[in-house]
Amino acid sequence: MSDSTRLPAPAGSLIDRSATRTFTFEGRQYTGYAGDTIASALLANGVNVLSRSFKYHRPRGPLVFNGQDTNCFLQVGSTPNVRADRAPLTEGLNATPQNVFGSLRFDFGSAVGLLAPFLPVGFYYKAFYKPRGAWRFWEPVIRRMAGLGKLDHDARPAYRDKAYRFADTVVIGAGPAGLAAALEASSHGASVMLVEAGPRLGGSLNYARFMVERDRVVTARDELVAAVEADPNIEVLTDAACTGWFDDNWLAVMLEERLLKVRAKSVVIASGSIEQPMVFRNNDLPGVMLGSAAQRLMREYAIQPGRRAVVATANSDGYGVALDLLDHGVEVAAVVDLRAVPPDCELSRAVAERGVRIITGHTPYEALPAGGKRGIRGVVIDALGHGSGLVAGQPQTIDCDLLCTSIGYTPAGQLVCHSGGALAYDEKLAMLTIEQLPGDTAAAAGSVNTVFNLYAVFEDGRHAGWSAARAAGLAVGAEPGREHESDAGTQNHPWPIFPHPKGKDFIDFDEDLQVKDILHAIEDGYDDLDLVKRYSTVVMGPSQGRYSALNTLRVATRATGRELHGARVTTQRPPFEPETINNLAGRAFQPVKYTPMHQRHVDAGAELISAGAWLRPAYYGDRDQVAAAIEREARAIREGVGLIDVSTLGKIEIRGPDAAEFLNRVYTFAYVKQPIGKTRYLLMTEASGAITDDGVACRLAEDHFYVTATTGGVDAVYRNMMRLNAEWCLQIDITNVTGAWAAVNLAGPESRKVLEKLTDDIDCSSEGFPYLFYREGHVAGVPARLARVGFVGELGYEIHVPAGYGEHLWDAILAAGADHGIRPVGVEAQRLLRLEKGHLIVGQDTDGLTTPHEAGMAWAVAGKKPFFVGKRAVEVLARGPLTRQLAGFELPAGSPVPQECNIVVRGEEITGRVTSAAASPTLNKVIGLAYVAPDQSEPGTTIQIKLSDGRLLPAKIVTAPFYDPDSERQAL
Amino acid sequence: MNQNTVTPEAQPYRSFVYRQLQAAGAHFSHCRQAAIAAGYAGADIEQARLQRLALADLSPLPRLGFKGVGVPAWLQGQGVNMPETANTAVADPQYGLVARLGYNELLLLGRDAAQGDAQERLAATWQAGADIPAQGNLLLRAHSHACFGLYGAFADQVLAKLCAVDLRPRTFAQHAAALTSVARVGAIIIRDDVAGVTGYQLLVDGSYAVYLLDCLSDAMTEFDGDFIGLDTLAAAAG
Repeated sequence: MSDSTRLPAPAGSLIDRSATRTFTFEGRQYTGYAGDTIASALLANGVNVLSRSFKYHRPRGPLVFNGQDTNCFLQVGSTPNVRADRAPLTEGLNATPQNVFGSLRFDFGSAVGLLAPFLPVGFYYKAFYKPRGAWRFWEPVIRRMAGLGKLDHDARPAYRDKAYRFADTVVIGAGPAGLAAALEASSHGASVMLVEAGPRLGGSLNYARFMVERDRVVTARDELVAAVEADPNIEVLTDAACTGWFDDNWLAVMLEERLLKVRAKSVVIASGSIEQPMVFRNNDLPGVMLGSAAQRLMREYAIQPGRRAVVATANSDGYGVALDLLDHGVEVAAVVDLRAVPPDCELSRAVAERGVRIITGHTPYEALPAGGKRGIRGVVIDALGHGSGLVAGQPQTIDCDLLCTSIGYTPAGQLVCHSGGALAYDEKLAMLTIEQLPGDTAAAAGSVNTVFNLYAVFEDGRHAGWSAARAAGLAVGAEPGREHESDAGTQNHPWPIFPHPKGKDFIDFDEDLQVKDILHAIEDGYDDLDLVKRYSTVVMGPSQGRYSALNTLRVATRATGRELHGARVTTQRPPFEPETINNLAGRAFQPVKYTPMHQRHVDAGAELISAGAWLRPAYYGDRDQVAAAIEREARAIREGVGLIDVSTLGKIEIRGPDAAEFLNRVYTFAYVKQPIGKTRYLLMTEASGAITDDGVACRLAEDHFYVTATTGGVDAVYRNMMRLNAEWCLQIDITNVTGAWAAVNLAGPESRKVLEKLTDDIDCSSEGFPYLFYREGHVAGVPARLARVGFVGELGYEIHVPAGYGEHLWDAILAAGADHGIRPVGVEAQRLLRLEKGHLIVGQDTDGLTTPHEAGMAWAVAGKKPFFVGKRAVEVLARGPLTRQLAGFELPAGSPVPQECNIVVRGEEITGRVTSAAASPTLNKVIGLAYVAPDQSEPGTTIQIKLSDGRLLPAKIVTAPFYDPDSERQAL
Repeated sequence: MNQNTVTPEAQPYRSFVYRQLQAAGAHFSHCRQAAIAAGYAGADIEQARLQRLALADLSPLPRLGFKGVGVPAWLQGQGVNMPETANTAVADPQYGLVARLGYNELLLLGRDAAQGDAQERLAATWQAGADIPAQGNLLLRAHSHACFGLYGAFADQVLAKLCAVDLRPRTFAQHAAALTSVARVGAIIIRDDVAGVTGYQLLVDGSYAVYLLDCLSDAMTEFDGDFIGLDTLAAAAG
């Protein structure tokens, strides 16, 4: 590249000519400037074909140059569908074209164009499903042909996260209306977030002509931008796309690095308007572009879009384009004005004064392709005929290599529709307008609000800013006045659609759809706009109808004989701009809970398992010696002493005059007469009589209980308690103190000796601290709550200390127990030991239907109480015959260990399932618990367990507990 | 508070994140039964961090809570200065920052050992059981919750990555309190500026402390945030 290919400064306001960037496209190396987009750099290097079209593989060049259509889609590295007219050029970038077979210049896929007559709209619905199974052959072919870049399955996603943002007022779009709105809202004290999709503020002020003396536009822009940037109340976000506007002004704003979830009290949408293409034969060729695209290329990137141009227009902006082309050295062969008698304006006068031929009442009818359709060599124009879309048949050819069209706009109002607003066609203005805003906290300003005169746009912005500040609850003064007309009625030609008998008059560039495709869809019976959309795929491409919805609405509405005025476009859904999955995923938060002793477990080689959000040690030792580790830990407790971290147990304090009465109502057992200093088992049922949780109640005082709950159940138990007491209004306070207390289970015949070393204010003797009693004192010098428990079937103490002392307690106990061979014990060994004792685990040995009687827990139900939650159901169920019973079973040593949920069968009948099973080294056999039919629950009965591999395993029903049936060891 | 060769593992009370602080180069000083991170780098460096973005582990500082009917009146009777409305806090010279989390729920955040002693006496009075409300519970907040201090010009932007509540200084006033969710974990946030620097105290269940510290550190990275010790906070507060 040499500077000669660029226009001289001041053209190229976005590029820095002092900083070059080297990049590769299709294997060839090029250079551009910092500030270039990939596409502008390619165009500066003479590469004017940037892509091939979706279906016919026609060459495509810059059409809108606004990052909103598929013409500039490229693959960059492992990222497909990069919008090359928006993506900044970076050093070393490697881009390749998409959807080509061969090269961009010689694409074999273009042969599909020869088959176009045989590929009518909806052809794949009709052609590829017969004979049966044909789709399996065609699908990969079609998917390959439809390519929009390739995903790299090995690509590693970049780090992305999300953030919440807040503002009194969010202004979407930083063009003239948005800038004015932001300043006005701020002037009333609003905190404003100004969201701009482009790289800088100014919007159309940066590239559009507006008036003959453009210097006045530049001055206005500079003043507005400076004021906004100096305003501490305005947060400016550039390269920030608002992709969705949801209820209660919840806005999704996508930045490169993160998704912002924005809450605003009011919203001003000042997103501008989208210039619309004309429809005529070969309107898609490189060299045909929107007038605004040519202006961006010249003014922002110093790219001369052609040498000899024709400008087709139906408004004053087209004359501004012609002036800009002339100012940047492009010969303007003619301005073709579709209007028979264009209104007088300073821009058209200026064009005429510069000697440009102005042809009124004519339209481009066909662009003439240059070699290989990689450009144009001229345009055929014709006089407008009698009737919309008709020409008079007086063609004349004008040689040119550039055809710019400026025939009107459509509001960029898709966001309005996301949260309940609507756009509808106004036949008088020949454009879509905002029929309804999403609520009274929303305002629209500028061309999205069909206001086009620049001075009127400023006024409209100020008014919207004032309105938004008021909607945000701020004190505002008098309503700003308006002096200028909007000029909305002079912008759009009502029917810039001129179908050609030979076709290639594209109405949707993304999907290669021609006018006849829309008509054929309607002829096929799809006579509603939404059906036309789905059948033909019109407006369903990446540009989401930005450049096709308006003309499709016109064509389809007329073809179906409907009223155009008031007609609405198809449903607009988020996202308005492309979003990457990476951004949507962002950083995920996955909370993990650690006990105070967690690191000690890790240091001791624990294998960790999840228990809800907690991580708990399963066992200590190598993964390939799990059984040995579990046996080692189990033996420590059976024969010596072991230490289990039970900090994850739920803990709840209940205090107040009605504390005992409350427990009496919530749990099945009786607690009113529970002595102070004793513990009692807790079993909770729900109204249906099913078991939901269990634990232990320690009575600290007449009015004070300390209650444990299961690790996974405590949150639900606490919520349930709060709900119940909201109904009962008992005099108690309930507090979930799970996190406040660390807890260990010190168990084994040697446990008393270890504990005695660590306390001097608790009598640890069997008489001083009997089984099922509760004590308070100090252990290892810190305050502690202790309970004599027997969950694992040995002499044992649950020791609870304030959580900050947890690790200190753990260390002290292990040190004190060293002489006794103490071992840390994990969850797996604990489960084995409790199984040997026949203790059930709620949630494992019960399910959502298990009643106390089925589980053999009738002993924990105080039948004489007047009430507990579930009492009525428990009693009714107890009176009827049981349908299943939890029973213990055993198998000889060396037998396979059934898995949880292996079924119990009797012939063809399933009578139950295994809930727990393990090989017991202490008992030297396999033991387990299973639901069986009531007539199978008698000890000595043989049941058949169907293993996971299908084998049947006979097992003998026995009476639990399997170990120490008289519970002598835990009562030592 | 005594400094010099104080190690967390020599104290009975240990912050939930003391290992992470050690890994970040903390040196510790005594605070009653705990070791608190006194500093990490030089005073000037930490002062600069304080202005920009800084995180301090305040977990070893004394904290106490009360919840239940009759608690506010009882605390008032004990001379505790408390806010009149929920979700606000006031400073009490004897007990520290007193936050009212609900009408009947109070949280006392001590700033030093002396306030910790005062809180301990208050707790002992409650536990003695004479003339305390018939309902209500004493809450061991120093044990149930970890406490982080987040300070600096970017502090609110860090929280905006983790919390859906509007915590900007212009809307979340000094000593405002919010019970909310931070990185999907229940949390208490109290605005607590230090010497004109925007600050927040952030309390979460102690079992989530390591997780939340990881989330905070990650969120702070883009703003070059780093740890500061209690010495820096004390110096700034004068």
